[in-house]
Amino acid sequence: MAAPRLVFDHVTKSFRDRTHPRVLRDAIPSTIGLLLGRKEPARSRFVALDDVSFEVAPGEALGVIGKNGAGKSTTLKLAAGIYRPDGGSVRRDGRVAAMIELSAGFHPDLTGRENVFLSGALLGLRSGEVRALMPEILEFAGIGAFIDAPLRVYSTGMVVRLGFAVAAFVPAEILLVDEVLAVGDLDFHAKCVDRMSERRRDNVSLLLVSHQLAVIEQFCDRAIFVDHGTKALEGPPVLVLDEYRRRMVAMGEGPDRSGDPEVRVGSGEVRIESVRVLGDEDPERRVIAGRPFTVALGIRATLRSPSPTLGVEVHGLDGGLIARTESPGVPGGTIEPGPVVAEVAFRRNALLPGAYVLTVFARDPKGHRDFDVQIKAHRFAVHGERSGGEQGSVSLDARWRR
Amino acid sequence: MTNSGAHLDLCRLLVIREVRTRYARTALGVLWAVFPPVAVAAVFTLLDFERLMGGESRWKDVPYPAFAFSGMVFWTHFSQSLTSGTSSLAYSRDMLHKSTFPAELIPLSKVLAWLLDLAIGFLLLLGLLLMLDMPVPATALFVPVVFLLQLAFTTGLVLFLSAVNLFFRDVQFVLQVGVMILMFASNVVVPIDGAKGVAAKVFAVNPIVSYLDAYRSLLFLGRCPDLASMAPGIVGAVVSLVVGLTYFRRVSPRFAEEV
Repeated sequence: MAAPRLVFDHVTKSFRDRTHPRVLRDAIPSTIGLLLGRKEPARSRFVALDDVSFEVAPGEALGVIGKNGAGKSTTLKLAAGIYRPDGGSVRRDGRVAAMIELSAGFHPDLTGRENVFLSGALLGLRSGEVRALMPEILEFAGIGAFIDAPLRVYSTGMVVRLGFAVAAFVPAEILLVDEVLAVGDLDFHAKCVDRMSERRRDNVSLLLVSHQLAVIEQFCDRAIFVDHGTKALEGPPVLVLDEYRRRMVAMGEGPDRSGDPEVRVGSGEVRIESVRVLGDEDPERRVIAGRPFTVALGIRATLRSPSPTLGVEVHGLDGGLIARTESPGVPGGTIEPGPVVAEVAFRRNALLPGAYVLTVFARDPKGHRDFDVQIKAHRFAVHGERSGGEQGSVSLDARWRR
Repeated sequence: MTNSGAHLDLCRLLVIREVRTRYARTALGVLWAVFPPVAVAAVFTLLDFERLMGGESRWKDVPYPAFAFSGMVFWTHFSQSLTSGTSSLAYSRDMLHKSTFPAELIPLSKVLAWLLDLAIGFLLLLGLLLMLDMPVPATALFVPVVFLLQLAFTTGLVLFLSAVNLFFRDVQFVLQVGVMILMFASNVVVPIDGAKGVAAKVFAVNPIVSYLDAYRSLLFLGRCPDLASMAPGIVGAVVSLVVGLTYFRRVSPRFAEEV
């Protein structure tokens, strides 16, 4: 096998954890550190990629799949050299063209043509090279006479096509593609896939990140599955995708699987530190369909605060809200600093067997302020068997008569 | 990847983008370039700031409109560059996430784009001197040399502030006030020859004072500035550029993840 074009050698990458509010006490030393160009201490950092290794050979296409936030985009940006690894190394042998941020640098008051020159220059092309590629780019983008009109009169689709076209024709040995095959109409999609195939025949190496499993399956020679920043699996796309689908379904299994919230906002006076979902009637405390269960929230106030209103929402995995409950307010009540556990019992459990996700929040009782809101913070499973034909999220205890 | 030709093209295109779009879709277009210096100089003239020009001032024979407008033309380049350059990186998330190119080009292109406004303002200044029957001495040819120093001072400062602003967006707000204070701590519209005490010390080390004194000396008095009065300007330019560029290069690998 020829020497690889792109090598990830035990790559680790972490980011500053932006979900924690900066406290003044920490802010001053860390500010001085930042100004001196020091890295922040590890404890305040979020590990996006942990010890990931892989290689891409000339003419090979590698697909990267994983949930949102698993580290796919980080992988791509490390490959492009936009991020630097904290540990390990990323080696590139050849020019890189990254099909990310396709409309970066575009200005609505410049013409399509002027924007193509700028976009090309951002990708490392000289103006002469852009001029030479212009006929191909224009043909591919299919903008027609609009090319000399200001970008602000373009439709969204036209802007995207133009951005894609520039990146698609940049001479490179390594092409990095981020989800962009999802853009445009079906015709354009087909054109993009053709163009990618063409470039592979020119022996270009491809790294492709996509949620569209079909694209990965058709297009890639190999796939890797990234899960929580680690490489969970590498192999032929068919096998990796199978495993990926299996795990997505299985996600949420286990009596107490705590996840990271998708979104966390709030002032932080009162924080929800833990979420546990406990079945009431199962020896392993699993949640059983039709049986009551309890959600226990571990909360902690940093200061003496008004007694918060707590809330729990049950969502389906597709995000739809199934039920919501809020604790009654305690007028004039306060909560002292320190840990407290609050529980809410769901006594009539109508949830069908399957996976669900909780959103939890603590809020100022007057409703003025969110202390801590954690969206999709905790997955849990409801165990049991669905009876034939039963679909959806809840059982309405249907009885047929005829 | 060293690709200086492409980077030069990118810099040129970023400047063109800035210049072409700044006054786009305005009725007066590029005339807005001279609006700030003209407006400020006119107002200060109407408020009779000329009364401060007498006494032992070097500029006592210079008509106040020429004094104020010359100050404002060069000051405007500095203040506009500083304001737009400092926030430039923070507004360029998409570009910083698209590819690897020298990020210096983003703030630098802002500073360079204001040269057009400066050039128009400078032509207007020459026109004003003509109107006021003030002969332009040959020493005016040295104005670009002094301006190169000012440009270096501005660029270094903008590089430094734009990088710090990425980590702490507070900078751009501090800057608004800072620029205003600096304007009054300089000889932009008010002659400072008679200053005493602390004020005199501030003026003596202020690079802006040094540049503006030099321009006026070259344009109005036909004299080259002496080395002593140029010292703050020269030291300021070198220190600013070295510190600004060093800091910028040091932290620029982290821009993409901080922006």
